[in-house]
Amino acid sequence: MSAPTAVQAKSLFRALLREGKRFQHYNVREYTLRRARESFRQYQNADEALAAEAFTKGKQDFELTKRQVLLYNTYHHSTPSVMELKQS
Amino acid sequence: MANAGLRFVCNRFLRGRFAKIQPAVLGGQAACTQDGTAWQKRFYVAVPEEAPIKVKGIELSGRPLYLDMQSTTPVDPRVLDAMMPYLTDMFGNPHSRTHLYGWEVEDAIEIARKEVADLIGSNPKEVIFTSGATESNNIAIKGIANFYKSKKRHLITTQTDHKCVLDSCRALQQEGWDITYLPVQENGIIDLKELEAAIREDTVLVSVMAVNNEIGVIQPLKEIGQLCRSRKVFFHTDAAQAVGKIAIDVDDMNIDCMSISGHKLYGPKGIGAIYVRRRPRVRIVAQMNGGGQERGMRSGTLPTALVVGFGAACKVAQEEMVADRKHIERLSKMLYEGITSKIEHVYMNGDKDRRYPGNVNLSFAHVEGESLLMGLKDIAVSSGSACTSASLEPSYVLRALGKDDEQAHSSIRFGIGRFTTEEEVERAVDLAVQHVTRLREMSPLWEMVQEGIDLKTIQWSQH
Repeated sequence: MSAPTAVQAKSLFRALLREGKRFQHYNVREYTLRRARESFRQYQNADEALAAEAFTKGKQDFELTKRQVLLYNTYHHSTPSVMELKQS
Repeated sequence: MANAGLRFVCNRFLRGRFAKIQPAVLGGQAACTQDGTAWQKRFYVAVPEEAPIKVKGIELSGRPLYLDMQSTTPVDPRVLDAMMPYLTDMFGNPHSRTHLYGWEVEDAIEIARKEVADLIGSNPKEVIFTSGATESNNIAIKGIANFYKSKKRHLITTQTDHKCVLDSCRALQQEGWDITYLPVQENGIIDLKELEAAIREDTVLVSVMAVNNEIGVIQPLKEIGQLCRSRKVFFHTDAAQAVGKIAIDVDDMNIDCMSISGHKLYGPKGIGAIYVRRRPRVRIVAQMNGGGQERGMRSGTLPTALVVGFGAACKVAQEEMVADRKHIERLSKMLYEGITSKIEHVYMNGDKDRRYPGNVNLSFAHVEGESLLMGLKDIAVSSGSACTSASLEPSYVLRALGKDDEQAHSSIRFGIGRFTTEEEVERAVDLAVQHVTRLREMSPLWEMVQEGIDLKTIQWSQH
């Protein structure tokens, strides 16, 4: 397993963000986005082996996110979080 | 770059639109059964003022932001993902030895056992699955006491331990055991000298909670472990609030027995574990008799999905511990400094440094805690542990720290976790400041404090 190219890494990052944004659940969505940003930043300048490992994990996380978005949104509570309401 | 920025704005814009259109388009089923109410509800997201929900007589504008991570934590999506196959296809009994259904789930359980063991630095064979920390605590205390009852008759615990530890001790007391309830210092931490003095010839067990559920202080586990080992007394710790949040190593800390809970580390409810040391061996009498599962210490068919979820939660906790810690520390500091910089007479309960930062227990002087909780209905917080929040009794933990009733009554516990956001903490600070100020403005006591009268010196007349 070789390290991903910059293009591959960026495209995975964008895919993960796009998928994460589909979570209707406020906290899970914000967490997914935050962790995606944090870990991509963390491995930006990592050496080859570490980057390859992180890339594989990222791809697994992406698949997991896709499944969980489906599951979470299927059972999403119709009442929104107060964080998503306009502050009075 | 400008292009990317534009796309971002577009995405956000579209997402907003879709959120409103979606239910009308996709929510056919719900709309049919509820006569269109489902999409009406969603429609009101844009105009929340018109759609309050009423629960238990309280009107809420939306689901409150969750800052009660000590009572329970949400299930992590990664945990749920690991559990799903065992709630659908792989339903076998892990103790079935004659077919694939049993074998496949048994393997999953052993992987989960290893994941739990790795997190606490033990051997997988020393991990026994239970229904949760309450059961683990019961097994540890009653199980050890019952096994060694011919030679020993004394146990030590602390006044600030969890109710289930104290209650198990109380039950043993009825059977003739001597129990020492060790007092804690003002900062919530036990005095090691007092512990040493309390250990007797016939002491079998010392049980001290690792991280307190109400005030979040961390007991000096390593020192206690060393002391217990040197005096040949077993050391049990209730680490429900600690495992997965602070580093725990059972060998390094000389822990003989430890209780863990699944739902406090982003796992499912109804699962936990007890660590029971094999060398030197800790023997216990089973509290649940039956088929002899879990090496005879806890009979009963294992709930595969919960066990797998618990294992996944431990694995995720280990991977995320550094990131979680950084995030929680930052938010905790933000919350504490945000509140204390804007209102005076706010005190943090428990030691300031030797604590788990995800637990911020604050006393707001001259404010009635229950009124404040009612005012803060947009934040899910509690005044102490969930077990005792039904009663209006002040917390026994805060009383043990030497706080008077007034202070104990005016305390609120904010719990920060993996899924808490910065915006939530900001909102919590704003709301807390707003409501404390409002309640104080109404209070004649606060007026007197402002005038410089010491409330303790007032002789209230009796009616």
